[in-house]
Formats: sequence, structure tokens, C-alpha cells
Amino acid sequence: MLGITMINYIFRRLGQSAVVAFIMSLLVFFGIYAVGDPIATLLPPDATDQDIESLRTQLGLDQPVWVQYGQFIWNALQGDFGDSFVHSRPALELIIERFPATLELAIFALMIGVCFGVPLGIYSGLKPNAKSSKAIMFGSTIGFSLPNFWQGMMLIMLFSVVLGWLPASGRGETTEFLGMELSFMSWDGLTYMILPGINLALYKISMHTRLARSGTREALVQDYVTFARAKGLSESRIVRVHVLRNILIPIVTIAGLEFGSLIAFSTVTETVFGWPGMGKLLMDSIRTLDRPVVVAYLIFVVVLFILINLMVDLLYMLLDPRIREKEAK
Amino acid sequence: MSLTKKIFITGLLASAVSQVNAETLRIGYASAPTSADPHYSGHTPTAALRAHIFEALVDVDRESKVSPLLAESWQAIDDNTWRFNLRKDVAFSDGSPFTADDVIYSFCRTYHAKKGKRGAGASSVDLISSMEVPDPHTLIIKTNLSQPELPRMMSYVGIIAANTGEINKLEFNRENQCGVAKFATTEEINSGSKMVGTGPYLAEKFDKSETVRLTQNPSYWGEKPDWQTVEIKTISNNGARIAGLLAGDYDVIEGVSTKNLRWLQERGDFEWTVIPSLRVIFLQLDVDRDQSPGVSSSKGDNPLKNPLVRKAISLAIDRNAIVKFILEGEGVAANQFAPEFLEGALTDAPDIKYNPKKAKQLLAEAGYGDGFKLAFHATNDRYLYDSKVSQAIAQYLKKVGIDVELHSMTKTVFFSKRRSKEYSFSMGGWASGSGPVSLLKSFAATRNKEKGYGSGNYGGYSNPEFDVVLDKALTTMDRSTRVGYQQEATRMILDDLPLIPLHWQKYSWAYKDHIKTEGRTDEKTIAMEFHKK
Repeated sequence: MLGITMINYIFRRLGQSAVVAFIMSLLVFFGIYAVGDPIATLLPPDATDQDIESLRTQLGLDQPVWVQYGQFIWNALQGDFGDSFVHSRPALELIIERFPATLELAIFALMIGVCFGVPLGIYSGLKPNAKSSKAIMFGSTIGFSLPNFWQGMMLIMLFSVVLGWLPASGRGETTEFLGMELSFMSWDGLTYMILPGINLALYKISMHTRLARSGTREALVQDYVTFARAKGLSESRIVRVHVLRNILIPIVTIAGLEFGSLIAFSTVTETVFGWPGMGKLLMDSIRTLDRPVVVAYLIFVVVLFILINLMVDLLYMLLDPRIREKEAK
Repeated sequence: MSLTKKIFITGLLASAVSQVNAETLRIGYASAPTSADPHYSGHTPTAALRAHIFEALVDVDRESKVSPLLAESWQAIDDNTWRFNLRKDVAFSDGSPFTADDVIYSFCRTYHAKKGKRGAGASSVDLISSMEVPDPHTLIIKTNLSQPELPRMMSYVGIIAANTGEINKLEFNRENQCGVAKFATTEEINSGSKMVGTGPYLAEKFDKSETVRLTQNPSYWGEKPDWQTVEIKTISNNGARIAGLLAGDYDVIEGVSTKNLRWLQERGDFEWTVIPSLRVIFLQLDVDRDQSPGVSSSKGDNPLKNPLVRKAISLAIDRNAIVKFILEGEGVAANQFAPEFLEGALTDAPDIKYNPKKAKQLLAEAGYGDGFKLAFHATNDRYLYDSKVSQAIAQYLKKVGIDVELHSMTKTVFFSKRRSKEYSFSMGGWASGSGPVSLLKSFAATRNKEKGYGSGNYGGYSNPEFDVVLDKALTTMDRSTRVGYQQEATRMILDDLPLIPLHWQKYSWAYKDHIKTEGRTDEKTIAMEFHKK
């Protein structure tokens, strides 16, 4: 099914992403340059002029900004995004190091979101007038509107401080798996994931509930469902085969896009729960004007989004024979 | 889910959370150490972590007084020469004995930490012109200028074993990299393979997980700390940090605002320590330029150049009210630039009393009875409640007729604009354990690149008489004479007011009630200072 057109398509997409990444680097680089000079945050206040000058030269900040940018692009093309001003280590290395922590939290939240959201949505779609359905819809409205930051603090207050069931912040024990340090493999690690995972997932649950509900209601009045009913198929088979299959496409699209934003912008949750992922790194780096890290991070995110969109497109083809055939032609 | 199952899971979760080990101290830092390399960064959290693993020749205690550590004693032989007698009973964590060579190696390494770049402690080593080793446990250090504070400066340089580098012939000579072929790299130290110090704790590694695990050094030469193991985690969010303490994730947290202490009061099984820290908050005035960017008066000149106006500004601010209502007790009104317990601070400084009437009088006397316009620049995320404090100051000054326009901004923007002298009137902070002279040297001395004076003197204050006194305060070897000069320097600035002191911040720790501590004025959180009751 991966025909020539398909490969062409993939290459075209990757080409587009290079352009987007370039524009992004330009905006972020000059944006941060405009904010200010990182020297003031890197050196202690009693630094002498000599200290300041030598650090400026070391970091290349004494050059005009366009020279700095040219240098950056030249190095970036060779895969070097520069060293973090704060950590003196390659920026990309810092990001990739923290990637597993963010990734596992995002997958965990996505799983909670889909596993709870879709069944709840189908249920309330099938019985739109039941009291329980109305309660679900009310709950989803709340899930949509709670500010992430406040919600996180409330979760900590309830489950960690008042009830004392779960740890409030940080990352617990990690186990090495495929070269990545992961939490979900041990019980201790998992307990640390639950609260930040829920905090990220509440919004996703609400969204998937609503999506699945409207999809279900739409599907139920379609001819194929009526036909299936007429054939005398059981209700559960109708839901599983005819309804679920058809509502999956929008759900996969949204889940894919949201997965990207889960990874890229879980900054608030990571900060509240002290989760040592990329988001926390981004916040800390913005605070210290650690330009190489911020720029590398955002380029990383652009590439990530493009890859995820590509994967979503490919998944469509698996799910929807119509798209599959169109591409094959 | 059945009820029994629920109870079972709850129990399981609870037991996983509450594995409290009496031998472990779990600390929640407010900001993260950036490396375990002793010469990487002098920032508070990194320097605090360093103290667990790498010791220095000299220690500074909670009130910033110097005391012996790896050097058991020292004397000044003449104005430019010091003798340090090193302890003979100290071994590194790899078993090798501690000698003067390790000191030379470590001092040289400060220039080559951070991928071969200058690191923490380098400005201490800058003072040294030569080092000689008459015997393995004696160091003769010569300085270019006389440096009465040399012992204190030695406290900023952590000592790492010389055998972590590849050495040809070790000698203190910056030209040939001290005869060292290769210094231990930051990566090697962070990974643990070369984390060889003499401190009371050992760390296996310093890595990305953002938890630092320390275990007691079994062969430590000094008094064993109370805790077998120490875990340091960083939670930068204030609310999350205190929630972590309440939830039992941590035994100790730093940086607790007094507003949150009521949570601890309600619970009852926590205690806390709130002490004035070394950090002083002050106003900096442009006393130099005739046309200052943020000032406009009807006469078209810069009123801040007039000492009467500066005095009026100082008197127009009610420091006690700011401390009481805005800082909610997390501060102490300042009447000078260093807290009284530090050497060189005034012992008889009168409080600066709030007197708006007098302020108005002085303004009228100076010819600005109808006020003038003044732009006030301040941070909103650097010092305790800085945005509220600056708002209050703006209001106080408006009351006496100075039309203040406040510009609050994030610290990164603030500091870089301050460096390029874009302000006429701004609020800054400073913390130093070496008394008032360090602030005065940076912020009030006439700019002198060679001597490193005046690097923070954005107000352009220049007073030759003061410079002479300050020079003496920095270089006089005799202690009581030096203290005299330091006090004189402070008095001169308090008279002339190119800098106006506002308050000292307080710093706080909260902890479980089986622990006790006194807290450090330099805001470092160090496990050795937390004891079992």
C-alpha cells in the first residue's frame, strides 16, 4: 500500500517541515535576543567586568546578532544546536535526555484520555437522555474549563496532602528500558505518574467524551446502522463494528494532534508536579534566557508535530479503506 | 470496585508513599543544582550541593564567619603572603591522602572547568600570584595586592583529588596550565567516575533524573552527619514544594513563604525556621548624568544629583510598613547595607525613620517643591514580593510629590537593561557574607576595570574620598583598623545616598518535627546542618 505516490507524499511533507523549522528558528532566535542579555542571569551579581567580558566572548555574545544567527544555522545544519549557556552541554542532548520522561507521561495521559473518554462518550451517545449521560456531559464541561495549574494543585491537595495516597511531586524510581529511564515499570515509579497523568488527562477525557458522543449520535441515524438493525444484529455488535469503526477517524486525528501538544506543552503540569521532563526544561531555560535550549526545543517540537501528523495520516489509511484506495490510484 | 479491594489499594498506595526511613533526609530545593562539578557554578544550589561532596580549605558558618576546614589554621606572614597549614588526617573518597598538590590542582582547574572555560572559584584564584609547597601539608600563598579576606575567598573553591587529572609536573603557573595535561571534565565528575572529594557525603552520580542521592562517606575525617543518606529533589513551584512536605515526600523544604506557614501550623507536626538573610534590597540612583533617561524636572536637570533629593526619597519610604504589610514579616527594615552581625557593619546605625514632612521640606529646599517626574524600574520575579514592594515605593514617593512611573519587568529583561544603563532609578538586591564592602566595591566605587571595582555602579557615583577609604577597607591587613575603614565607607554612602537601603529579606525552611536546624544566612540548604532532635 506504500506506493510511489505515498513516498512522494512523505518527502513533500518532510520538505515542508524543513521550511517551517527554519522560520521557527528565525523567530525564536531573534525573539529571545530581543528579550535580553543572558549574561546577567548566568553570572553572580558581584562578577567583575572582566568576568562578564570573558563569558561574552566564550558564548559568542560579543558578535553582532546576525553573525550569531548565521553561526547557529551553520552548526545546526551539521546537527549541532549549540551548548546550553547554563549547563555547558549540547542543547539537543539535554532535550533528548528529558524526552522519555515527557513521552511516557504523555502516552499515559493519552491512554487515560482515550480509555475513559471514548466509552463514556459512546455510552452517552447511545443514551442521550439518561440522567447518567447528562451527568457525564456536565462533568466534561467542567473538565474542559478547569485551569490546568489550579487543577494540579487541587489534585495534590486532595490526594497527597489530605488523603496521603500519592506522592505530591517529582519522579520516583526509574527502570532502564531500551536505553531510556522509565517510571511505569515499577510500582514506586507509577505512583509518581498517576497525579500528573490525571492532570494532563482530564481535559483529554472531556474532549474524547464529546467527540465520541457526537460521533455516535451521528452514526446511529445512518443507513448502515438501520440496515444492521434490520438484519437483526445484536446491539453490542452494532456498537463495536458499525459505530466504533466509523467514529474512530476523528478520534484518531484529534488524539494524534493532542498527543503532539501533550508532549510539547505539558509545561504547566511538569512544573506543578516537578516532573523532570522537557517542559520543565523549557520553563527553566526561558527563565534564564538559555537561548540554545529554547531554540533547539522549539525546532524539536516542530519536527515532532510534523512526524505525528504524518503518522496520523498513515493511520487513516489503515482505518479507512476509502482513503487507502484513493492514495493507491 | 468492591470496598475491600478499595481499602487494599489505598493501603498499598499509602505504604508506597510513607516509606519513611529515619536514616534518610529528603530535601526539597527551590532551584536546581546544575552540576556536581565543584568548579562549575557558584550559584547557591550548586554551591550547597558542592559542600556535601567537596570541601574547601576554609568553611563559612551560618553567620558567614570563617572557620577551619581542610586547612586547620592560617596566618598572614606579611601583607602579601599567607601560610595555610593543611590537615594531615584527611583522605579522599578513593582513599588517597589529601595534600597541597590537590589544592594546586583544584585551584588551577577553576580556570578549566566548563569545557575548558572559567568556572566557580576562579575569581578567588585570580587574587593569587604564586603558591609554594614547602612540605605536603603547608601552602605558602602570595597575592599581588594585600588581601585580608583571602581565607574567606578560599571557601569558594572546592578541592578535588589531583589524581583525577593527568599531570606532567604540577606547579601553580597559569601560563602552562599548571603542568596538567588533562583536567577531570565536568562529565567525568557528574558521571561519578571522578567525583573524588573529601566531604561527608558521596554521590554515585549526578544526572538528569533531578534527584541527587547522597550516602555517608564511611571514611570521613570529621564529625559524621546525622543522616545515612540524603535525597535532594528540586520543586521550583512554591505551592508544590509545600504540598510535597505536607504529603510526606520531603523532610525538609527551603523557601517557604510565611503565608503558607499556617498550613503547617494547622497540621502541628512540622516546624520552621525563618531568619534574616544576607540579601539586602536597595534603590540605585543615577547621580551622574545631567540628562538621565527616566527623569524630567521643570528645570530640565537631574534632581537625583542633589543629595537633598536623595535624602528626601529615603525619608519618604516607610520601611517598617513595607516589611510588616507587604513582606508580611519576611523582612527586616534596613538602615545600612550589611546586617549587623557581619564584620564591618555599623553597630550603632540609627533606624531610618519615615518622615514625609521632612522629605517634602528637603525637596522644597532643593528647589523641587513642585516635584518632578521619575521612571522607576524594578523586577517582578527576582526578590521577595518585588512587584508589590516597588508599587508601595512608587506610592510613597507620589505622596511627597515625586511623580513616579513604575516599570515592573521580568528579571532577565531588567538586568540586561540595567547593564546598559537605561535606568535612572531602580531597585536591586545583593547578598554577600563578606560584609558591606563587597556591595560598596561593586555598586558605589568608581568604575575601575583593572581592580574590578564599580562593575555594578550603574548610577555612576564617583567620590574620590570614598574610593580612598574603600581601598583601605579592602586592603588593610590589621583587622580592627580594617573594620574601622569599612564602617567609615558605609557611613559615607549612608550620608551621600547614591544607594538607598530598603530591607533585608528573610529566608525560611520548614521541616518535620523530629528535625532541628538554625538556618543559614546565605540561604544554602546543607544536610549537615539538619540534626535529629
